Amino acid sequence: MITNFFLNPIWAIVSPILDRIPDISISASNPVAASVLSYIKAGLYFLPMQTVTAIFTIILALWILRVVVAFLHSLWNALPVV
Amino acid sequence: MKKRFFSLLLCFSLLLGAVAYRPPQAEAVAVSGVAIGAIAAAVAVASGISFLSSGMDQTGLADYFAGQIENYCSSIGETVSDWWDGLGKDQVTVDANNRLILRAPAYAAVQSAVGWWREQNAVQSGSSDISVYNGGFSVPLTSPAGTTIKIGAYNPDLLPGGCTRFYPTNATSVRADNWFSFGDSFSFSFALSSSGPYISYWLQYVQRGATASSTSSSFKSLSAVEYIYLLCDSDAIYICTLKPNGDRTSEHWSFNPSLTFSGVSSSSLAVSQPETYTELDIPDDAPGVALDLGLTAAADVDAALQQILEKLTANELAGTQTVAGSGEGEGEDEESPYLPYIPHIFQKLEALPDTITGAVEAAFAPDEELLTEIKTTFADKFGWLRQLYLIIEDLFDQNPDSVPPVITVYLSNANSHYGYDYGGEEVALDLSWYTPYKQTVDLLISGFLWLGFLWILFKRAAAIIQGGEMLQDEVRDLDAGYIESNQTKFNHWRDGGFGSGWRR
Repeated sequence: MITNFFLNPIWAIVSPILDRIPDISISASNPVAASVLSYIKAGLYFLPMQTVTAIFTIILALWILRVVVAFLHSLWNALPVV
Repeated sequence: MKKRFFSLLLCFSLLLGAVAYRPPQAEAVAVSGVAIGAIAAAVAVASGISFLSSGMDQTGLADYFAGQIENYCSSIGETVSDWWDGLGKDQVTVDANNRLILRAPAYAAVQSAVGWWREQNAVQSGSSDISVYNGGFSVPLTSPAGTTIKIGAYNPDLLPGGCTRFYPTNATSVRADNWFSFGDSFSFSFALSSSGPYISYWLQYVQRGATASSTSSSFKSLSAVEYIYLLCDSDAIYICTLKPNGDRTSEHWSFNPSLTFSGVSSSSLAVSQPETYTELDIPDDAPGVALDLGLTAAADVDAALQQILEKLTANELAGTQTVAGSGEGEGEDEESPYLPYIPHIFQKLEALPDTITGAVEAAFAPDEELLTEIKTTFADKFGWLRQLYLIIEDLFDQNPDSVPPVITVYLSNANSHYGYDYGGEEVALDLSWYTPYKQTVDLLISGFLWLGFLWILFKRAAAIIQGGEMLQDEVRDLDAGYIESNQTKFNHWRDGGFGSGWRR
């Protein structure tokens, strides 16, 4: 009930915005996309993708960590507890 | 200050909402069909039905009544949980006189189920010994020591002559879970049903200490076979069926002289209704119906239901029903009106944590419909992320062991001065030539990549540990003059053209 009190107005604002986003569909099966992807795949074949994936994962995890800490900082500043 | 309190309230409610939210499947209350079956049996007995069971234990009786309740709920298009939960909470209690108290909705619902069951079995006034369950039989066996029998597996090749089939007609379950040694007395049972079309049997025998057979089989019913027979010889025990060419007597079970059968007992449940079936009309102001079943010291509903099953097993379940508040026992309550409420007070205290949890959930749990709408909207609008993820995963999933990519071109649609169709799909570049070198080169590149990455990580370790804003380290570098701002780069470009902005 109380959570709904907050969620409803937020959703009332967000929902119309989301409704304006067109439906997006990505397909790799059409000839053009398949051709482009095959070139990209051939290029990436020369890279150690396992290492690249691991590094990207670490970078992503660090971004998430920063976002979470930044959010907590903002929350701490907003709350009247200090 | 108001804004800060508002944000505090917002965070608090969202946090509690996240904690209080339960997915729909987790909200399902585990309603015991056995418990409701016992309640239905109690209502039936108090209304004029008599049960007479033979060879049935509490589990068998509980299974029977639970199955009937499930069948009834199926007939009205509901599940047992939905049907019972729809009546409301605390529909069944026990009062200070050890009577089972059913609130009016529960009583009416159970009476409907019992009415359906009576109709199914043609139970009417004056009916006697109507067989409503004739399913199980157990075969206690004793045998000489030295050989072990395991009930569990079956090998049709082992069947002796004259027993050519293993199609247990209408058998629905077999209970045999343990090892049994010859010399020990053991029993197993089949549950037969006129509606069960399918069964799996296991029979394994160990011959002189060595496993001779371990086969599982599943069988469907065969209408030509009516009986299940148990055959034994000196080393093994067989379960099979014969065509109905003889009487179903205990002789069929004792043809093997090396095994001694101590008896064959059947299990059954019969019903009688010597007089009129009575269904009470409950006044609007009455709390419900009190079933006086002669229970003793029932601390709670579970204990009362357990006693009901025990009495049912011993064929001692009998009782009466009165509208709660109008029975004979109510007079005793009037002399000390507070006594019946003492157990209720303790029950309420015991249920206090659940009550508080329920109140918190009711106050903070978000609306299921709203959450579903949010989830659906995001799934619809951002479903392409999943497709993108699959494409990226396919691109990144390359290693020295994977198939090398091949670039092909489609020439059939090529357009030139000379017309169309210059061939089909042709290989433009096959990277299989690189495969022998990929592992070594990957190792080399990986080393440099990790070195560079770790160096960058080391330089930004302070900012990462601080968890500050993502531009914090860049701002620090700007302040220190290690890098130039975009405005400075622009000024360099304006004054010196391309490339000059990068000169220091």
